Amino acid sequence: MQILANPHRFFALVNRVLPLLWIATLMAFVLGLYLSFFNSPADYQQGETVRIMYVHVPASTLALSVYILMALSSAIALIFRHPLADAAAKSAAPLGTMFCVVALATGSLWGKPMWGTWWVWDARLTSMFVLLLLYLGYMAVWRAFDDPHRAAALARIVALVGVVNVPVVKFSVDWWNTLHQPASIMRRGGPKIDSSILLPLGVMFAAFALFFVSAHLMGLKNEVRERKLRAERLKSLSAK
Amino acid sequence: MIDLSDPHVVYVAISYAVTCLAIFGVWANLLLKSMRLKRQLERLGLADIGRDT
Repeated sequence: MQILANPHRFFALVNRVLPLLWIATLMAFVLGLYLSFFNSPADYQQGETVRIMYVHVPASTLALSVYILMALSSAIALIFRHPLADAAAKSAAPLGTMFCVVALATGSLWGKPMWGTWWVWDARLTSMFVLLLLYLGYMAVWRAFDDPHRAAALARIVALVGVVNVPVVKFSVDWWNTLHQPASIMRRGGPKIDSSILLPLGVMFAAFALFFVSAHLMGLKNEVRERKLRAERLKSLSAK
Repeated sequence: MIDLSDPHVVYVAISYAVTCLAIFGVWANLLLKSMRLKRQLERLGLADIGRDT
């Protein structure tokens, strides 16, 4: 772990691993899309709309997981002052926002034919919307300050306070009466959906997760490049 | 296999299109940013991160 704290060593490793990760991501997406469209049945009640689940569920799960990762990175930055922890949280935020937007958009597109409405302010949908606002707020904090140290200090607080919303999103369907269905995969007693649907869902989840890891490493590299450029500019300004 | 005659198949198509667009958009944005930053580093005579030269 300490070896990877050195950005040079860390990125030398990332440069070797990243092309393989992108190939794995592409392969997982191709397989996942094939299974989703050609090798899984329609639902007896929902018909073809059940296929929206193969993008909606991975996007929602990752929207929550990425926020947890952001909070953990912020905690590590706060406690251990790890040089890459803030950069990891900052570069994860746009990806989490994208997953959150996809989850909300596909959920809405699934809701219209099944519930007869695009949107209701029920607990699950509202808490997911709050998660999107937290992501946007976190990114806004980074842009609001010229001094990255001040921005990082406030962004850590937003990430750590906002993580309270994650269990609210997860358990909202159990705590309140919602239009959204209760958990059917990550629940006590195991998943209650058929393996013919579980397999494409698992592959699509792997594809989304691989995409996140690859894109996050790419974003992290960009973040460190920006820091290097900023340091160089400051050096040249102080030399004048 | 997907039944294209289902009246709700349009919702499925839009969902996948939105997802593809979002994923591709994020990837393209990261790639363009990475190219721009690499060029700026080169212009200053600095090595890219994780590389010695």
